[in-house]
Amino acid sequence: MKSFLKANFYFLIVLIIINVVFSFLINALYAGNYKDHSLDFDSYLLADSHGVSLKNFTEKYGIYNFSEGSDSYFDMKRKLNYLLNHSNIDTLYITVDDHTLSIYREKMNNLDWSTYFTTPEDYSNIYYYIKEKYIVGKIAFFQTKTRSVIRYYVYSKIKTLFKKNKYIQVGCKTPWHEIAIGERIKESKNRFQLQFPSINKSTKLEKSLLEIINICKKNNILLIGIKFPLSIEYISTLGNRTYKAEEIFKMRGLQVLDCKSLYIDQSEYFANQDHLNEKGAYEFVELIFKKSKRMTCCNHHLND
Amino acid sequence: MVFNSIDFAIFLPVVFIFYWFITNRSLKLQNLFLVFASYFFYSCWDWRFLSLIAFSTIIDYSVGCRLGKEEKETKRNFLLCVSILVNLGFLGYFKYYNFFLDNFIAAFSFFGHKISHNSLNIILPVGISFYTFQTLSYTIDVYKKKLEPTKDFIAFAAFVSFFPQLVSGPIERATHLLTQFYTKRTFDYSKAVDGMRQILWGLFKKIVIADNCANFANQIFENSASMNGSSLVLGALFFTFQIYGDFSGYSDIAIGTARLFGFDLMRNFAFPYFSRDIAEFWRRWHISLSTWFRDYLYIPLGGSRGGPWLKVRNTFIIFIVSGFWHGASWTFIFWGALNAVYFLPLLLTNNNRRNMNIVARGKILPTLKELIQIFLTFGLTVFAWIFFRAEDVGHAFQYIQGIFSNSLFTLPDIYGMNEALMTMFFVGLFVLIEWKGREGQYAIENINTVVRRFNRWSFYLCIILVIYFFGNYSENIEFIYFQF
Repeated sequence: MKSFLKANFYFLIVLIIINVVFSFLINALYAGNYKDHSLDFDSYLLADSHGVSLKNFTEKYGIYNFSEGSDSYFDMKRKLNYLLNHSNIDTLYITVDDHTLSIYREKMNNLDWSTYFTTPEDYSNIYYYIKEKYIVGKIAFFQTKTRSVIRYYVYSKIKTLFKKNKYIQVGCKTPWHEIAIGERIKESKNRFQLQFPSINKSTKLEKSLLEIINICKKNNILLIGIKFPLSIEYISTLGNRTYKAEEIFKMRGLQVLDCKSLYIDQSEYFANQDHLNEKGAYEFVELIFKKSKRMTCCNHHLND
Repeated sequence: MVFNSIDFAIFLPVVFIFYWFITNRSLKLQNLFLVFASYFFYSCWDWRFLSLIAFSTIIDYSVGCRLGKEEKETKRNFLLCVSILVNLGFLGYFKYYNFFLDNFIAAFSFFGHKISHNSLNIILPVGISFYTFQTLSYTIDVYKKKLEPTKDFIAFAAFVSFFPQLVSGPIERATHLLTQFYTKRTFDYSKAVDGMRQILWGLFKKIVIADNCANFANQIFENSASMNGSSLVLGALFFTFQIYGDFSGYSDIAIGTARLFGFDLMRNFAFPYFSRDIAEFWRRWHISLSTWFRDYLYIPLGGSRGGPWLKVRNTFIIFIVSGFWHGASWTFIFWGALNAVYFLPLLLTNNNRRNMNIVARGKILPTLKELIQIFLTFGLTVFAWIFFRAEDVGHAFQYIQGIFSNSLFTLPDIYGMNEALMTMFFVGLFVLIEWKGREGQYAIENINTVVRRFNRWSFYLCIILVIYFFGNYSENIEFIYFQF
């Protein structure tokens, strides 16, 4: 028995070292600032990467951008509960983009990391709390998101060894509007396939969104939905496909800032098919949040 | 609590520590602890069904005790009937009630009689088909006086509910497993290490092979009407490896876990896809079920003795019952019957025991003849799996029709082709490793012959990293055999 335990112990040490390396990598590559936040605001923006592109431009209008790439409604609910307990939140802007209730988002999210914002009260029993926060939350081997990020990183490194990375070229280096139209359509189609893998929406995510609405209602928080601007290529690819998060808001009489088609003729505002670049983000924030936090819809701004 | 979950990764070491360090002072205490751990394990699915296991345990224990004392044939028969009725009654109610009801109604409707009915919303208790057969084997063996009835209730309860094999087998015999609960277990280093290795290999089969194949098998079977012929062939192949990786992976984890606690479970799979004929395939696939049916159904029916008609009848019975055991659906019955059709020519020409040894033993490659035989058998098996996986018999025929269309010779067109290619790469690698290790109990058993620990550990780490980076962690992919 002693030698068995000893062998297991040594093997475990090896695994722990690998785990530390992975954790270091993931912090350096992706999640380093996931836990960063400010509690000094009374208005917050919760969204996925669409919100991230707005950077901190919103702060001068009193809105803290608490968005993170791949955040799902599960993660946003955790963040909202955290804000309720630690800040004086009175207004919440939240994404209601067409894809937010996708099965894809149910699988690809930040659940492993948003446990940071949880308390035992968020779970049905203490076992789940400990498991999620201290086992999954701390051990990279149990984090599916971590493995996806590292895998993608390794792939891109291998790719760049052999040829120029197409994704980096399209997404980061070449401005979106300078890319050939055919390539833009192709990228949009790829993105569409990823975000809309099935006809059915995620019932789990829908449940979380409804819980967010109820929490806001119960705590007298003004809840406003936002649909972020999309490029014309992506809008054409989308057609009328949506998982209808926006409908849920409208049915409950909640405001929705529908900015999906806001920059339909301004490709220069986009970093890629569905994300604003810095210039676009700045203009967007100026247009939406400048005058008032309680604007009713984008069209109103446009008409102004 | 499934084997490939964090819950099980916590549960297993906790049970291991309690078992070897706290309850090891007394055999009774150790067995009692195993019962407690197994009941807890099962309750993680649905605690309400624990009562079924407990009831089945009490009935079969009592029947066993009475059979041990009773000499009168009529009373012995009665006692056996009680055990069979209770066990098969549970199974019949939970698994087959709606199937029989719906088919009776359909049959009456066919003859113009309209009957109103309500199908019951019955939840199938996990693993009921497995533990029912296990307890039945005990009563039948005691009845046949092959086994002394146990007087140790705790040992018997541990035998019925032993958590590694409770929900998906291997279906153990009392003569093999129950007796292991009578003797004090001592920790065996090489056995425990071997167990760990087998668990690791089982996880690889489940998470990397089965669950990745499941993604594409599901996609293709669910959209078969719009798929071209080559995609449909690919779908059938994906399912072939899914079901093997899934079920044999589960068995490996179960056997490996049992070894950590000092138990030996029977082998359930012996590289079935390298079989040279269907008879060999059935000696290598789900061995614990095949031998159960052989011993408790086929042989009592007369087996292969008697005339050709009797042979045909018995073969069809055993294969159809085996198919029906898998689920209350005509697809499983068709699958069973199709295998009977495959098997019969071998039986009738007395060629069913032709390939008893390991293929190409001691050689790197098989002969051309063996290779052709393996491919033919594999092809027949893949074809039969279509019935097993299809939603209904009509779907299976539509699927087959789709395969044999002009589009068979076009390129496969499935969503996520890059991922599919990666899965195929791992399946290819898996087949190579299985071929290399086919003379062992499981594919990587012989890694222990590698002298340097560094090399062995590097190999284990590679498997762990492959599981981590290329495994499929979707929540909704359960072990296929849980539904049986």
